Amino acid sequence: MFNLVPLVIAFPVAGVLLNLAFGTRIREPITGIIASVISGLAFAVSVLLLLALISQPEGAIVSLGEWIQVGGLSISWSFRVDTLSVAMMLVVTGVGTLIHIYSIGYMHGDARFTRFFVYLNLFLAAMLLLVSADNFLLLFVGWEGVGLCSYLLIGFWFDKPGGEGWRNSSAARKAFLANRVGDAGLLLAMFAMFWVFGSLNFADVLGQAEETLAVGAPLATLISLLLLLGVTGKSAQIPLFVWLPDAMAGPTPASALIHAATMVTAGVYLIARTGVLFALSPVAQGMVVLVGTCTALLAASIAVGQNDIKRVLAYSTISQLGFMVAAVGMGAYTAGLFHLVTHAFFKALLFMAAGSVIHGVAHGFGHAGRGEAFDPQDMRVMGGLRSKMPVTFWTYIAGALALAGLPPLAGFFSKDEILLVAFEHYPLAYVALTAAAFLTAFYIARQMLMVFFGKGRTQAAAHAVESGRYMLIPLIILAGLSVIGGALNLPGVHTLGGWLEHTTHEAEAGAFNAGVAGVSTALALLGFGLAYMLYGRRPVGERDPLEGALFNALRNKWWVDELYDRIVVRPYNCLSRLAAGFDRTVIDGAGLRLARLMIWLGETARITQTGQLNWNVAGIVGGLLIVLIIVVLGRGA
Amino acid sequence: MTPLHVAATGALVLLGIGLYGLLALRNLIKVIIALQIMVKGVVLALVAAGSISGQINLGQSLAVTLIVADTIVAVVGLALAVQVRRRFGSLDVQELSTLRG
Repeated sequence: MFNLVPLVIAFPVAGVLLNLAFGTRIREPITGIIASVISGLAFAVSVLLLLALISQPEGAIVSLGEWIQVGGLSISWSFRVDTLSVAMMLVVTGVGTLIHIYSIGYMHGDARFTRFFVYLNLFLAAMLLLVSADNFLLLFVGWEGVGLCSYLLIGFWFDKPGGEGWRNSSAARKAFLANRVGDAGLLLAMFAMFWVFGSLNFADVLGQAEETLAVGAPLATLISLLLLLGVTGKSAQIPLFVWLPDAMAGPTPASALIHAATMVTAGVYLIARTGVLFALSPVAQGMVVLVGTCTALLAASIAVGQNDIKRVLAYSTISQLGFMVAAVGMGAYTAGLFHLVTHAFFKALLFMAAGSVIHGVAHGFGHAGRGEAFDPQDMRVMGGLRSKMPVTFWTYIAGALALAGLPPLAGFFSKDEILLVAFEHYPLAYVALTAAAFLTAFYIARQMLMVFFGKGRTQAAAHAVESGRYMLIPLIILAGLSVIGGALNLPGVHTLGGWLEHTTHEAEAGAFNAGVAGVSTALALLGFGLAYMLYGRRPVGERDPLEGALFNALRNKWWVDELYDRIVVRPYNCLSRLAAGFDRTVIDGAGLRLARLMIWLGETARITQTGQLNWNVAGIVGGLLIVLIIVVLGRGA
Repeated sequence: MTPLHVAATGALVLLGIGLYGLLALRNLIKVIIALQIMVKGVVLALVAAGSISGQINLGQSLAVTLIVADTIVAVVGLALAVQVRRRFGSLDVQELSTLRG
């Protein structure tokens, strides 16, 4: 049964090839349906693996053969089936399939419909390779693959008119470059691991780690911190989180799949996978918790000040990823992965519902038919969509409440588990994370109120229409999952905890703490109430009720982008210009000058080449005389 | 003045005349004639050298061989001159200075 695991990757690859080969010849919805079915098949295989694991929870390693064999380095095409990887596979393929179906509706009429699905399937293949790899190099292949797909999908609309296409492709480049920084960290970590352990296989590295390295060994800290750098790139943590909000330039389903539900959780998965190494280095663990907590709080605060419906969700994603990273940093792998799963449900839901809203408003704008400048993603133009788009509204409510962590929705259980661990071991982190949870409730309530309640503030909002069934059915399914997802790991039962224990060997199962849960629930309700006071009672216009110095800072994202521009981008551009000048004047200059010297020499020597026979004879005779003189003089000496 | 002196002087004189011709003349036919004169000087020098070194047979056979080879040079040279005349309408070597593919 475990031998099926290569199929999980083979199916999406087959989908890519199929649509690449025949995509231009078949009509629009068919390619999307092919891709969705392929994704569903991968999900089915994951379910089979799950069933196999239930009877044999220790899992297996499936090897397809050698890949690289150089000296002491031996890398094989081997896949690991265990509770952790299968849990990730289920999330990726499950949520992925729903997003594929949604995309059929969302991308309807797009000129590059087929290409979009090719990218989605390619992404699935890479992501599944990432989670199922049994050595770091194979993981890295998937890691780079998802980065590539992310780049391609962010810049998907690179040719939109009016400078927007340019902005989209800039966002794609920004994401790619920020990820490269993280990838460099992961690469260096792999070099260090190979140096220390002589292998890149999970079994060798993680199995020997505790014997080879002592707790607090500098090498363990080094490797862990380099891994953390990789995590900050892919999972959008401080300091590399700046790419994720810009990544919203891509089509909304791509945002849901890659930049909310799956790819960005790769970092959390990596820490959970290499937990043994982090456990050896208290310093690195502390850093992970610090990074996660700061990110959670910072991003949640920025989300309060945004007016773009997708940007709010983007910062919300960064913030929730901060929760997960902090959790796995504390060693609470179950809590982190639990939140990863529930977050995949409700954030994919929120993104796709937001996509539905954007669709509806854009349609309404077309209906209202006025040619003024208009941004269908700006929440200030919305309002009153509750009655216009009822299904989207109710599913959005489910996602928003789950995100805010109200009982008994999914987010409540997973977030509380993280808060509980923090409460017991890291009091400061607990305070910060609770504050972030409060802000979460506030900004999501603000968003709901601005989008769905009150009256439509523009003609476009007033004429918005509900989306089609391809888009609504995945929303309804995900809404159901967001509501009941908490059942995966109920306090006291710990289904997921017991399941993951086979892989992470984490015995600790936190007891339910009514105080912690009560505080966070009360704060969430407080956040809702506050948002209602500010945004619910009167219509929100150009001027935000919170207007002021602090809000300005939030709206401008604490000027993080400007700061990076000053300290990284501009000096770098300066350096580039210097290097370009050096290249032109010195490197190319040397070559050019040499060439010019040669030309001059040739021109000069050409004078002797007259083509005159007599002159040639004179030359011959002259040469003969010189030789003779040399010979005669040589004999004399 | 021994006959050998006469021969050596004659050879040098012939070489000089030929060389002058090569350097100074512009008509291709005349250039070939000058070349022939130089070669005759060399033939004379070979015979004389054979005589001096006591290997008269060697010197004379080399001279005969050279005469045969030189005849071929003359024939080819004159044939070329005919072709040059046909193609360029002139035998002036100074007008043959352009390179053409």
